[in-house]
Amino acid sequence: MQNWLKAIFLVLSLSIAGCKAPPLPPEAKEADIQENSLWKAGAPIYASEDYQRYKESYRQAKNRLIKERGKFVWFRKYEPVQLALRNVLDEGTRLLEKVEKEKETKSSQITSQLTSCKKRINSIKKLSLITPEGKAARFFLMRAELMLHEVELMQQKGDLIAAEEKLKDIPTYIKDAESLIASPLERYGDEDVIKIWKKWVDEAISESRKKGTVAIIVSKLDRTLTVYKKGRLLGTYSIGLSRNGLSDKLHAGDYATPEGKYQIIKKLPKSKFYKAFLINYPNQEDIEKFNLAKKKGLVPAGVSIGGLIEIHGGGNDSLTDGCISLENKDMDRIFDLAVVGTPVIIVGALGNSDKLSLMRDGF
Amino acid sequence: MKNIFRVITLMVLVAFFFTACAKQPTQEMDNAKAAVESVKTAGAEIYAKDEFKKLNDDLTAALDEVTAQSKKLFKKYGKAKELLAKVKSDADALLPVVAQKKEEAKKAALAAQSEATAAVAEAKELLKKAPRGKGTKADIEAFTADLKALDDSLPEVQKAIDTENYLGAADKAKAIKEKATGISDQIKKAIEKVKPKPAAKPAPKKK
Repeated sequence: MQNWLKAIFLVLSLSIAGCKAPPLPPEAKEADIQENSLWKAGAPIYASEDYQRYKESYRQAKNRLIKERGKFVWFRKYEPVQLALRNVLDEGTRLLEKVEKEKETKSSQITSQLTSCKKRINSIKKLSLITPEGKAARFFLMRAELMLHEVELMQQKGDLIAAEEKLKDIPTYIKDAESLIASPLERYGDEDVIKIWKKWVDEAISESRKKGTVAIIVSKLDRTLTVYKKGRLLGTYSIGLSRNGLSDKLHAGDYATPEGKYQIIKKLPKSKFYKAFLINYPNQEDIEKFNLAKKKGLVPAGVSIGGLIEIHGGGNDSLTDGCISLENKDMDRIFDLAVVGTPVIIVGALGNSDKLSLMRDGF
Repeated sequence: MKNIFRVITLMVLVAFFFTACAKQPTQEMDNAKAAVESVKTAGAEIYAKDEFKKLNDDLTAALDEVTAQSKKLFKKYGKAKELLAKVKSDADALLPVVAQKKEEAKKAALAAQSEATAAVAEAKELLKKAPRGKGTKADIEAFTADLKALDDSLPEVQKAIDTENYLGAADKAKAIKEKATGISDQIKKAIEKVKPKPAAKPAPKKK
């Protein structure tokens, strides 16, 4: 009977002793908090592999903790677990830094791509106003702009991965718009064509210097009209063109502005559009070009070569039918300078045009 | 010798008593897991991210407790059961919250869609009144193309709503509205510009 009592006493003692477990290492709680912070910071997204490795270390440490807790209190030793948890905490701290850095890099990359896309869209938008395919191009540009806006909203919310993903689709729309606009503008990337334009301009300025006369130079891409007198630059004015203004005029109704060496054949002090200079379009070269195009079937049946191309007032934001329009005050400035016979050189672009470089880069 | 045998038998019986009565709470575990899964299916990952993460962590902690106890000689699953029951009740409580947040997101998306549609319609109406002439031809053509693109983008908002992507739908609608409003503002300015200015009142004559 005495032995029975001893046995019960032994069991009870062991049970009571089991209640006095050593405290859990504080690192366990810290690791839990850190894991949550890492999740909130987006570690599973921005540093997926590292996060998986960290999670594995975290799990292993926790398993060791569980294993240790499972031991009889006398045999529990938390020091090795504590060390493992500290290592996990260090790994977590490094990972958090990496995640923050990654997010910062991603965000700045997105911002830079957004800026670049906006810049391209704005350049094409300007060109869309003066090309026949501009309307179709604007459709794609607007789609691209809507997506840009969505990307900005995603970026603001911190959803950088979705923003980055969405951003990938935007260049396709921009390229679609570019390709629509690019075809009538291909000539602007042709060095030989630019050389010819530059030669016309140089010759006109040189003649102005030699003869002491006035010369008018129109650059369609730059949308400028420049006046020279005795070879010296008198002024540069902003102009408006037609919706197909960057194309070379071929026939009536093509809404293109002709390119070539012309001269004023009539001064109109009173015109539908304030004041005007009528130029000698079509000249001999235009007629030859038209006839050749007609032979090739490039001119619709019954369509003439057209005419009545003017430099007139009415505002530089005009959309003409092929003429060149100026602000009325600028028309006033040049009206008395020019005479009948004043050369008017209309070129696509000047060799040093900023827009030309932009287009070369863009397309 | 006889006594030693008795002591060993007693100890085995006590150990059996402690362990045999402590079976793993499999039913509670399954219930908690199912509750968490149903919250996930309801859209908690999107509409109640933080709460869902906490719920997942609590489930992991509860399962860890089960594992811990299963490795002990004297298994006590009481705490694990409590934790699992709490996970289930938290998940059950989160379910209507998620549904409510989802409904709110849906309402917000629908409101944004209406605003975007109205903004596009307003811009279209304004464009009809825009001053027409040689000087505005290009702008009108450009705005017409822009508005067509906006109009064509509106069904995408509906598509996002139909697929329950309410947050995405709201973003799309906001973008459309902003662009349409921008166009309206430009047209209004153009209309204002061409409005005939009221004749200036003659200055009072000096006596």
